[in-house]
Amino acid sequence: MKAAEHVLGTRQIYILPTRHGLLFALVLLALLIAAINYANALAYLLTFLLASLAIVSFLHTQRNLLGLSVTATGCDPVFAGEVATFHVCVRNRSAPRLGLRIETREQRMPPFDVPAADTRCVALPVPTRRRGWLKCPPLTLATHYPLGIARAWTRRVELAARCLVYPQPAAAADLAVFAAVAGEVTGAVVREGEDFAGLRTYQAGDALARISWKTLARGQGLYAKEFGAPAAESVWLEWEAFPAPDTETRLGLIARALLDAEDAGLRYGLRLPGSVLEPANGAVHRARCLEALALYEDRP
Amino acid sequence: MKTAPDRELPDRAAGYGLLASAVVAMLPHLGRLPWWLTLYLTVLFTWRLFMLRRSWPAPGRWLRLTLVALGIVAVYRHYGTILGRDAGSALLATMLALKFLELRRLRDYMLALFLIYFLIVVGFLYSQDVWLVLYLLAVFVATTATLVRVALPGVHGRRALRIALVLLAQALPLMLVMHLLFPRLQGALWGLPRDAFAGRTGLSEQLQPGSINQLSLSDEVAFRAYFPEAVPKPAERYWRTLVLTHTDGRTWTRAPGVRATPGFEPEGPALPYLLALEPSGKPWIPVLELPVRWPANLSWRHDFTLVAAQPIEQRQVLDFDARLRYRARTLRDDERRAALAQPPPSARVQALARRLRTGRDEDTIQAALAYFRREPFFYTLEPPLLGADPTDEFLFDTRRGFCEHYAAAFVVLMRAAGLPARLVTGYQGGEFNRANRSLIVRQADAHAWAEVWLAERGWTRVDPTAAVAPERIDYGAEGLRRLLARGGRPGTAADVALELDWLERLRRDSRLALDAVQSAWQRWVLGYDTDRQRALLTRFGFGDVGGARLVGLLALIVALVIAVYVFVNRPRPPPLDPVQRLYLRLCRKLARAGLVRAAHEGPSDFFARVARARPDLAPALPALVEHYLRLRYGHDQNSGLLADFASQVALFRPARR
Repeated sequence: MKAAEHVLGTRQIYILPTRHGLLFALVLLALLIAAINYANALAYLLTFLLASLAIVSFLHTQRNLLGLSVTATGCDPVFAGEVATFHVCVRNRSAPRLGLRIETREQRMPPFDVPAADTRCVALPVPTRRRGWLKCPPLTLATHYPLGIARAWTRRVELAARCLVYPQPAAAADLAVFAAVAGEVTGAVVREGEDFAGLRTYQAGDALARISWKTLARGQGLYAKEFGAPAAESVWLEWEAFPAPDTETRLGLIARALLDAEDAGLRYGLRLPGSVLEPANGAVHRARCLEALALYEDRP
Repeated sequence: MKTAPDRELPDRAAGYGLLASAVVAMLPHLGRLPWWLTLYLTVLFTWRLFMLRRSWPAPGRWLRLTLVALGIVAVYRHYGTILGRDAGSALLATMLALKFLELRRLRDYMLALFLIYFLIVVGFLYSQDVWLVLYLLAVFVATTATLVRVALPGVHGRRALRIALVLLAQALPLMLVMHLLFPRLQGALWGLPRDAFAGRTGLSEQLQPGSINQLSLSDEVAFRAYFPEAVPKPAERYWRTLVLTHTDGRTWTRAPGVRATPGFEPEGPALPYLLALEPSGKPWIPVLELPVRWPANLSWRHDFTLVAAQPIEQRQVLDFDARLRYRARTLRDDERRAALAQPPPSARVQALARRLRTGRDEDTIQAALAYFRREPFFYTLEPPLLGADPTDEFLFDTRRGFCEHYAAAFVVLMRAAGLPARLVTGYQGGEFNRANRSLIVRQADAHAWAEVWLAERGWTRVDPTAAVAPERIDYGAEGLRRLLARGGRPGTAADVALELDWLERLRRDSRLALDAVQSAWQRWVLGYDTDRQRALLTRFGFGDVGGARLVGLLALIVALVIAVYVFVNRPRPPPLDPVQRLYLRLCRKLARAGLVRAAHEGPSDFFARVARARPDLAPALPALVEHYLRLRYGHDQNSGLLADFASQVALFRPARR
């Protein structure tokens, strides 16, 4: 089962008594024995009422999940080792649902309610270890509503949502060591005193100051001006220039260098086997470069 | 599994709710518990209250264990056991109160709630009074609402109550099905503890001077009789219960088992009635005059009375036909001997009997009654004590007494005069309740009278009390008591002295209305047993279904009800708001005229298109659009605007082209 949205039908919902439910059943049995032994009509009646209450509450427990749809949306990219946050959203087209709970193999989230004809999202934190795409873990929606004596839960749903995990940047010290030993010799960081200015199609994230208002005014579309920042130098981050025992360490070093270059306001380009990103800087460029690193050889 | 325990424990408000539920569930028990236990429980609950209010610490483990041990030992020392109804409920209350000192996990809360449910049910083992039931039902609802609050942390109190009420409302039909169809076992699973039925009052199988007097002060209901057809007149309301033939001169007892099929010829029409019997702890059943049809589990005695195999410990509803007139055919020799045997009476009594014995048997009876009327006999509920020969002292010295004195003395006189006679105890009278055509007969209506064998009529009832105090029969025991309380003298009182004033009438009528509620409750809920169940099943055409098939039928009906609930409870989109409904109606009208709104079209675009396509409709449209947009997006929500829009939509009739 893998889909963007899961609508919960009766076939996807399981229900069993909880431990409290079993305790409740014991109490019922004791009451029934007392009622029979004392042949007490009201003791019978109340025992029946409690049993009926349990049956009806089971129906309500199951109904509390019925017809809900589950989606997982939006996850901001994170670096490996950080916690990725998926947003699991539960959409309810009918009456209010109380005491819903998202559970994965590893964790149980606190309960939440979804008002009538509304949607509520729960942040599901997932720790990351490796770069690449992280799938939203299979999850179940569970509930103890209304009396806590029964638990209904759904089959594990695998949602299509995924999260991009960047390689874990090497520690600054590692890069410094690397730069001292190898950097100057091999010219790992190639500086280009570039001053080119041109136009490119506007992308979300470009600064307002860079929008080419003239072309916009002429009705030729939205363009952003590209400047070689006069004070900034351009650097190339070359795959070959970061010799490291293995790919992951190398990607970590490149990521570190990339982040440092961004912080320093440098323009930087990325040259990986099979892909080249022309020097630039800014949030969009940084994200594009990190994505290239994250998906390099798309995981062993 | 990682959990967030703090966020899932019930909040403080739920804690208060739980405490309140426990306290109200315990209230009906407090009167029964020993005073020191009430004090102990109060201390424990107060501690819990301060834990909630002032954040007092919970007692440590050792203190808690000590308190538990203390509770168990104290209950054991007081009751001599920890089992059974009395000790069990005392222990249950103690354990519940102690549970409140260690509410740490969700399970503790749940257990406390289940114990409260248990306590409510145990309350029914003591009393099944309809008012107590209503009270405990309210406690039940509150407890269920608390259970919802405990299970759903953070849910609002009022919402929890609503959820609980919905659940209970849906549970009621299921409960009813189970109540009607769950197989009832006859008798207890194991020997009932001795405390199961304590403190019953009822007629004793012996009659000693003063034994009925004791009952005459009790307002307790002995039984109720429902008459679907005719209701017997006050003078016909003699409920025969025990026939006492044997006497030692002081105490009257039943004749040792003379087993013979009694012969009688019923006269007059059969009178059907239902007898709803309160538990008496005795096996004998009060019946109206001569029973001619009775439930199979009762056995018939030679003296025309009925006995159950077991003492009546539960309320029972029994079905009878009675005859008010009958004629017994034969008196066997042993019966005659028993009805004449008595220790030789004193010389004065024998002389009186000889004097009374004139001519026919009927005349002798009349002479004896006339003697009671003529001589200064007084009816009083506080007679002087009688010594070794009560008959002699009563007839010649004290001359003050009530029914049992008159009846016993009369039987002694008859036997001394050579007429076979016997003493009958039972109830006389009863209060008629027009609300449900029932007679309410109380212990205070207990009565004693005599039966004399007449050759041509068989056993004939003679009530000597009626000769002295006819009000006893005409106005019942209660009327007579009222008369005595007002200082009136039985036998001479004018009727007016017995009339009720309007306040007393109002009080009586409201009391009778309440009694009708109580007795309906008793008939349909408390008295529901195997026999009633069989009668009900027969009425619905199921015949005599046995245990296993009954369970099958029960499961089937429960499954049907569940199926209905699944359908009724299915998730449905919430109802549209009225504005949206009107708008959709407008769109449907246009669609019928051939103008279908596309899914992406907002109201402005759609109406613009309609105006272009159908210029004839254009004049009506701007007002519609404006109203809709103002209602939907504007802030001036008032009902006038909505009413305008509704009428506009109703009047808008686009012609088809």
